[in-house]
Amino acid sequence: MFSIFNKKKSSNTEKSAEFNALVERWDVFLTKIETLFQELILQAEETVLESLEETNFDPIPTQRVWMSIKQQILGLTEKIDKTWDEKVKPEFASIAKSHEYTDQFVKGDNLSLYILNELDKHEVLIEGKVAHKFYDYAMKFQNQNFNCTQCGAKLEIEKDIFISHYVACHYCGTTNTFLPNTKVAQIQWFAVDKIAKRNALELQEAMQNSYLKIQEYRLGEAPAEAINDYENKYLNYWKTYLNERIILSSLCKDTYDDDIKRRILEFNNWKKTYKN
Amino acid sequence: MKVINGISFEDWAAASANLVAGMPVEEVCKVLGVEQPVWEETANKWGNELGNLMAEDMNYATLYSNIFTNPKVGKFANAGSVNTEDAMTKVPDYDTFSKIFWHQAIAAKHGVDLVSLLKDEYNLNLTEWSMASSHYSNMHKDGQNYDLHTQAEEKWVPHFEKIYGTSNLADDVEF
Repeated sequence: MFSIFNKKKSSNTEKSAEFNALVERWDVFLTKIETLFQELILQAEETVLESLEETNFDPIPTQRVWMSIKQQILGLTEKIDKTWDEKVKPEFASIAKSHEYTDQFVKGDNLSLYILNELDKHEVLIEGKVAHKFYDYAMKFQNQNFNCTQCGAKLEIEKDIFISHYVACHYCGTTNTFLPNTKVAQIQWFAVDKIAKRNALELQEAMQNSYLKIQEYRLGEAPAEAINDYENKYLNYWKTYLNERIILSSLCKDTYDDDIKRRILEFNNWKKTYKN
Repeated sequence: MKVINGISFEDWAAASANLVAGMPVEEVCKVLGVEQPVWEETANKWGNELGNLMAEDMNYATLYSNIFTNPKVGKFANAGSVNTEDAMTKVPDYDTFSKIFWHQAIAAKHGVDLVSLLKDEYNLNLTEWSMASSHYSNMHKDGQNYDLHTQAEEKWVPHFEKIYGTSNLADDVEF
């Protein structure tokens, strides 16, 4: 069993048998929730990928399938809260003082936090994988021929532009309007960001861990080294993510400078608020 | 404020709302007086620019949202079929609004396509629903009408849970 929630075993040796039995029931309940979560998350990727194929690579219903799995997972954390409030806490309150069972509440809270963190990570992984599969499929349509409407010459299309655009014919000079295939047109909004995010996941985690270190201090009191470390990891993540987008879609090249400026502005705003 | 390819922020937001409401892209381009490649490039750039503007001032999000819920502005003042009167006729009172709101919320948990749900069950498009939501959400500003909200929730949540079933896997785990 995983028992993520039960990091610290509390000593119940001096507590009553009734108290210990209740702790055991609570542990069994949390273990069941944790097991269910692990099963759901294991099946999620396969289910969502299957849905993409079954719907003829339609991103909308595929997203809905993922959303409903997410809702089921979020339902697990709601169940922990509800069960504690409505059943476990009243039972503890009837046999012990509140400080004697605070750690039991923390166990449930730890498990909820663990589920939410894992869900965040798996969301990037699953959405990235689905987006990649969609991208590979849609790109087949981008490789089809496009000919000049005036002279019929074969025109070269930039493969990494997924919106309609003008293409000049080098033979007769006619400006042609290239309208991408419907699937190709979906790459920009459905796949690009998700693939880039997945490719930068390790750096995102490094950035989040650095931020968590800042949160270990009282508000406004983290040392300069911790802030600098966070700033470096923050910029490293955003630069990598934005460059990953450009690798997939040259349209993202045009906005890179503005995107970076915006992230720096957002960081500076955070820093200002944190220091005050 | 700046314009991109001759298209203002107001026109871009109104064009986006009309597209969501079902206006064909060809018609949107006609109203704006541009060809599709220009529109698509502009829409992409304005989408990004909105992010930049919001990083400096969150009021731009409200401005966009206001135009989105009332897109009869700029070049779209006399174009399109979207209007507040239609939305308010279809969602005439707070109870109807609550019914649709909770219907969507519960259906979403079951993987239902919300755009189709609005269209098939309530004859609403997304823009009309945004208009109605904006109107009735104002009733809750500063915590007003809290009881009304609670009563509606108590009425409609069980109603739709009965229709869709709870089907929450967590319900199988008992303490």
